[in-house]
Amino acid sequence: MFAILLVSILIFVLIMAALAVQIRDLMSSVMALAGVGFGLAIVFLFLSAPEVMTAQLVLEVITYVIMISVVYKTSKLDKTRKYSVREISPAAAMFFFAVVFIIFSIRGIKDLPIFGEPLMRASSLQIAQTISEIGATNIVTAILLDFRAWNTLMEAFVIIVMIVGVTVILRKKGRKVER
Amino acid sequence: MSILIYLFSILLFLIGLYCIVSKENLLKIVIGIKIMGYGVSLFFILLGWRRDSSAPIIIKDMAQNFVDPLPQALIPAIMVISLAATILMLATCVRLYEKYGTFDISKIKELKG
Amino acid sequence: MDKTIRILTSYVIGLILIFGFYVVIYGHILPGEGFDGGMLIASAFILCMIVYGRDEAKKRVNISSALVVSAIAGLLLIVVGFLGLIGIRDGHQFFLDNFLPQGDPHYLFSGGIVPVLNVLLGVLVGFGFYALFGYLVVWRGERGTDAEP
Repeated sequence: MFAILLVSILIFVLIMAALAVQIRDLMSSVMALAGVGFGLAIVFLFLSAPEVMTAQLVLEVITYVIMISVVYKTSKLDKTRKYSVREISPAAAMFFFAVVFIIFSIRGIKDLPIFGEPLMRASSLQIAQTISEIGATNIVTAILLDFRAWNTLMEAFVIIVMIVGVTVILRKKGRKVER
Repeated sequence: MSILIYLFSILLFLIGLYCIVSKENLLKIVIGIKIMGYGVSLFFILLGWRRDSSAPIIIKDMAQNFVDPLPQALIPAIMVISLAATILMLATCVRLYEKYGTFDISKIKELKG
Repeated sequence: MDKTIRILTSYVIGLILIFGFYVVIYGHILPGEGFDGGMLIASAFILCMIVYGRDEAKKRVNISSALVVSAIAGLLLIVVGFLGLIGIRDGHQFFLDNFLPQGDPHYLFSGGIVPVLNVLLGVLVGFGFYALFGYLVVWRGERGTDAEP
């Protein structure tokens, strides 16, 4: 029962992704992208990951609001030309690459542990030490803020760099126009 | 047979890659990059699932069988960085639209600003 | 915006803000974390900006001061990190050390340095994304493409 539900929601996610790529109306395309995000949040809930699910939901909503505002203020339709039957080179190159990629990735995936029994070499040590060394009960927060605090610090820097970058790009005064 | 579930994340990655390669609208390219990011996150969380185990939170007097918490600690960081990259790309797209008046990349190559 | 939406929003914004603070403060016991709670705080401010307009939101929280608060939270993260290097805890002297006492688990004052870092992260993310939204969306371009959606 669990496997059937999981596979059906994954098929729903794939269909919404294909719709987001192909639809020519930009508002509907962004809505299909939001559908991909929410379907993925349900998949994370099935795989017992509550923190990842809340992070995905909140980030998805913020992305959706910002993209809708950008599309609403600029063009709303995709006015590029359609490909005729003669010009098939991007699709053909993509198809060839996809076949090669899938063949090699199946040969690589065969060495992974079976779905449902991960190795957990480093994680078992960290789970055992959470109560004795830190005293917090949420294991994922304890890992992110004590065993791996460097990553969190660098991530805070990335957020500040992003804010500085957006402020610089959207300045009101550009360079002076040459006369 | 159970390794076939990883094919879903590979297919999602390939759909995003197709969108980047063959579409000519700037916003569609941004959507393609976002879908690739989703595919990678899905692959990581699929790696760390354990059968008959609970979410990684310690509750009093319950079984101590947990799923792997290490991918679940790394993935929100990757998601926040992908969001930062998307917002920077959208700011650049708004600026380009104000200068050229169109999102079509074949026309942006021809006009001079 | 519509009068119905304004009245409904005025009831809901306070609840969203309180829930965001709850998720940040109890981050080491319940599922949820500094990032999630910070985004919830940012959502409350962004909702105020969308429904009531840019000027009303500027009267409550100024965009420039939100940027300054976010940068100060980032600086405080580094300061807390260097406090571990001094050697408050005997024998462990490294950056971002866990030097506060660890109380009993399942209570609020437990976990050493983890709640402090959670609160700092929440403030940084929340105010930062509100300032970002203020710059990106409500931007007056050169051709006269104007104001809020």
